[in-house]
Amino acid sequence: MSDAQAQLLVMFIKAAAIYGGLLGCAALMTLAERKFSAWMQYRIGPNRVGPWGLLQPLADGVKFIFKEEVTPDGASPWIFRLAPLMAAVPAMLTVAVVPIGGEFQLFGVTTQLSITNLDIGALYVLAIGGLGVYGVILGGWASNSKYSLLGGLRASAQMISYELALILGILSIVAISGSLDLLQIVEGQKGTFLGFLPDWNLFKQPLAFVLFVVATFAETNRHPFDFAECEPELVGGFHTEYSSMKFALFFLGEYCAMIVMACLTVTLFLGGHAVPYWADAPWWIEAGAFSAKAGFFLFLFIWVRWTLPRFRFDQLMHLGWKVFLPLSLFNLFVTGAVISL
Amino acid sequence: MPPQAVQAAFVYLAAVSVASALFAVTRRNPVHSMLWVLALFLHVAGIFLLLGAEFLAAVQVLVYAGAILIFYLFVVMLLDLPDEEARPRFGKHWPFAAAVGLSFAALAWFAWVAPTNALGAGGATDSQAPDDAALGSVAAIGAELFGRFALPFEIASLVLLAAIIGAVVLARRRATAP
Repeated sequence: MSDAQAQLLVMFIKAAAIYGGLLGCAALMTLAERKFSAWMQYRIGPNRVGPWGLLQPLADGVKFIFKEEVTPDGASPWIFRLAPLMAAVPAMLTVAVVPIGGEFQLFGVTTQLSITNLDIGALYVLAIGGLGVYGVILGGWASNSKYSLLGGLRASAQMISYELALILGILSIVAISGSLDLLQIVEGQKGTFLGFLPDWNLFKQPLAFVLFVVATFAETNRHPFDFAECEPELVGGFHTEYSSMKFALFFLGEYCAMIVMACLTVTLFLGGHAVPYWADAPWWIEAGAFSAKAGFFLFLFIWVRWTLPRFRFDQLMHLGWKVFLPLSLFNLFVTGAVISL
Repeated sequence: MPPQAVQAAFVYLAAVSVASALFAVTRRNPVHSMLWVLALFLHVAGIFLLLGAEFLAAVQVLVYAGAILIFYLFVVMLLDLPDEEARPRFGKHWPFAAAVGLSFAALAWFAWVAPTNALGAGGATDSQAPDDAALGSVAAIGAELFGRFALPFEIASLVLLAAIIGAVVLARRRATAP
């Protein structure tokens, strides 16, 4: 096997593994969501399909495939079909630059456990991830239903508003690590801070961390900000009229976006795959550390959803524009001042 | 990438850009037009990537596709579309607009073929273009933007500020009217 062939093969294996992992995680998240909510409400949750209900996502998938596809009267046919794809694909594309583990060797090729590494990784995530809003807004519009339209409008207004806090949060991290390259950002977080803490950006940028995490909840339309599908007011929001696999695609996109956001939070603020106090850990330990950290944030998404009540939409906008935007600008200013002094 | 691949990618991106721009102005349904504009933005970002301008490509997608076009969609989605579609597709002054567009295209063509222009700077055809890869990097653009071009950059931001204030004033007036 020549060198170029080996590299191509490694590339395919990495892409298959990472995308398999992402989709598997998204499927498991639907189960985890139902299990955790059940435990929090003193119920049992799905337990019929497979041990502990582990095969429930599979059963759900089969059910979605066999459901009738309904296209509402007066819906715009092409855009109606396009919208679920536009919701799911950007979230899946962004995972390509997340560095999940360190260097390892496969077939004589030394490689990183990430599909690719871009100089502008952080910008790429923001740019491609920002396209996910098209799925929501177009799905809402193309359904020809007032609930869908209102849900789509709300969701897109919310996503655009909180994208600012998200971007400014990332910017302050970029400012202290001096690179847009996610791998460089992770490298900069190895070692210790003040002698005993791991050198994570979380400890240097606590305000940015809080703002960023809350903004990820708003970006992914999760509780307490899930106005896109606020049942008492909007039935199902932008996906009211969707059924069968198209609905499943919206769901898949939502869970993929959550996973990507969790990975991004870990990469930017919790040292990514860096293991605290163990600088040269083998790559599989690093990947394990990354998964554990990301798993915590995924659990946080579920935990918050079943704990907090929903905001009101005007409160959400007030929080986004009058609290988060000034605070994140202030944080960026202080960061810049500290760096330049 | 081998040069043929770059060439092929450029031909594809350029052809689709032009086609989607044409579709964007000829579709009757404004939402469809918007989607063609989205296709246009993404393909233009691809052209930036081919030129090694990664930062510009990312910003093109982030700002134009991810923010500005979303706001357009917002407005267009709230229009009365059947009414909008019934109107004639082009206004009365379209020949004038076409003439303006054509003359700008001619100007661009002239600037491209001319060896030197009136300002004495070299045309694009002479190969004194500075070395590519570093030019499109974030650091290079940042240094230029906040160094040599700091004043024009800040003036451009004033234009945006004026637009924001204008929007606020317009919205206010309507709200206070009984």
